[in-house]
Amino acid sequence: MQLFVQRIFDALGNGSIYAALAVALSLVYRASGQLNFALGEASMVSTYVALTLATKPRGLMFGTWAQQHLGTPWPLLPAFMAAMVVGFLIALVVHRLLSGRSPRRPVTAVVGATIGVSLLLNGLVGQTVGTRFSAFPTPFPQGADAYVSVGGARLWFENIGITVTMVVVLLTLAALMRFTRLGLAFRAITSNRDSAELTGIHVERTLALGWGMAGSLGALAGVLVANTTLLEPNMMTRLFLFSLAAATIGGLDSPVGAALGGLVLAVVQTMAGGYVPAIGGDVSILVSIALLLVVLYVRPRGLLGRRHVVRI
Amino acid sequence: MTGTRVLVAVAVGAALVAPILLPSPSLRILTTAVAMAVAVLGVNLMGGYLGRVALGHGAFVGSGAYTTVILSADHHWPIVATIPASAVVCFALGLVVGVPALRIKGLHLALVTLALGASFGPIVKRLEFLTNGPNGKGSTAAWVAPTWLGEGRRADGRWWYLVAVAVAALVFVLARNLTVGRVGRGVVALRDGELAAVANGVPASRYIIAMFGCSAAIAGVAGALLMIQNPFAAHTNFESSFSLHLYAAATLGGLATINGAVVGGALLVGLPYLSARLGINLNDNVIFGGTLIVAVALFPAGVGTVFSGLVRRTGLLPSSGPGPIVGGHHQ
Repeated sequence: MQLFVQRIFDALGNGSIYAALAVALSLVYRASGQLNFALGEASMVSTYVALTLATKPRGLMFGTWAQQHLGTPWPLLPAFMAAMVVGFLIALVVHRLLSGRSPRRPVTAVVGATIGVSLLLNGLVGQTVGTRFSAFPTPFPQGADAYVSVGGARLWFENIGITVTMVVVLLTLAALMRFTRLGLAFRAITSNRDSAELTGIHVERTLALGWGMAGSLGALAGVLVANTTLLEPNMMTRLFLFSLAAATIGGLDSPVGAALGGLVLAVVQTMAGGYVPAIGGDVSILVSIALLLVVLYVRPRGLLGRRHVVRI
Repeated sequence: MTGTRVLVAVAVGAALVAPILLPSPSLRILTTAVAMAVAVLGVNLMGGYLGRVALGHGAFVGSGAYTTVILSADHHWPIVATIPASAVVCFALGLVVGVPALRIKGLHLALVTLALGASFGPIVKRLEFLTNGPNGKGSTAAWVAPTWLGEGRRADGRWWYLVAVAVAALVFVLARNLTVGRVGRGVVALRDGELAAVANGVPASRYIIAMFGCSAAIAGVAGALLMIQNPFAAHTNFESSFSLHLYAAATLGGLATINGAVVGGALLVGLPYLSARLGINLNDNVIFGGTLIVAVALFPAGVGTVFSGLVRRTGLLPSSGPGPIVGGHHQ
């Protein structure tokens, strides 16, 4: 029982990261019907920006330049904020690539553009920093005794920190969607794009903001997880894949479902890794895919997704 | 029709003269490009004709390569016999993937294929008794050139090239016949309007699954062809990034075009080679990411269509088969 609780606690950190990325994906998908496959690599780039700003340069991109002109190292908070701004801007660029002539682009164009950006970002960073792993600072207490004991199971401060941060951010986002003019416009576009446009909502501008906020959320996930995973160019590749799976499991068009999917996936991964002896860390990916296929087969719209109804 | 014949004759002539004129290293690269063109063709069938985005075809190419090496090393099959065997194995794998894919469409399927492509490495590492795990598996059996081509490495290189070209030509002809035939037209009808197609009697499930199988089988043949020159299969060569490069090459060539696959294969091998020769040494991800963005932004129907458009204007090549996706339908 103690071990079981421990595994749930261990899944919390990863679960909140998956949940954050999955919510970012589903926000965009719900409003624009497009999936941002570049979100993972964009948050990796943002995390590198945070590293450059928050630490002394050691052969990093623009490290010396940042020290001379921006007065780095900065405290963690402004460095994280800067990363979120970068995530916002990259998402805007991707959105710009996809918007344009026709508002509803075919799947191939969406996939092509976002996969293209994803490869390019990964390649550029890989080209600059190589395959080196960098340590990344964390705002949460670290150390051998940085935990609270709950019934014998250790709940690490870092996991608490990540989970609480994500819960607060996601609740803020939900409030933004629920109670502000921008949120109303965004929900109007989600519900009916053409009618929203007719009532005078700037569809493209609002969507761009939505993409940008999703990008910031991705960047936040990146800077929070980088301490555990260590920072390297392929840091987000697998995490992002899991988040995609999580969003699909929960229902791509439901942010709540996506968050739930993130937690479910993390718990299933941790449990499978802990209890099934043949399954090592590397094969958590196989468990995720199995879960994804089962959910899609039984319930193609995901756990909380809406049924897609088409008028003929 | 005569125009097509002239063009085909020129192509065949050039393909046959190449091994005599080219030095061995260039011929090796050309052989790889031929194999890659076949792999891109597999992605094209799925992405273009079926309208399903395939982001995991590297796994099928890898399965074909491993099949060849395993049969050759552990069961002492001659390499020539492993090529159809790879096709059969991957056809079966394609069917397995195709069945769940019947219920999944659009971006959902795109991410499932992405996940399947990413799971290839972990699966190969796990099946150590079969694949030799993370170290990769090699076979010592080499396909030696017949005596009329001479002896030595140079003759072997020529032979491998000729085999690759012959197999690729066969696959391309079969794929073309598939796409202009009953199944191909049915599948395109499904892509453009599923309801209308079904109402007109297209057996949707059977055709879609069949197309999945054929697409995977073609990718498997490509994997076998890659192993002719150097029978060593390493899962690191068939990881997610390779699948994405394949997809990029297919998009660059033009997704729903048979000829586009040739362009795609040439670019897939040629661009990194060119970048290395020019001393720029760009990372493959940078090359294919960058070109993919440019292609999607400027040529929504594929860069290959620019070439084939030019050729068509000269009147040498009639348009063949269903056209590429230009826009319109969403998901």
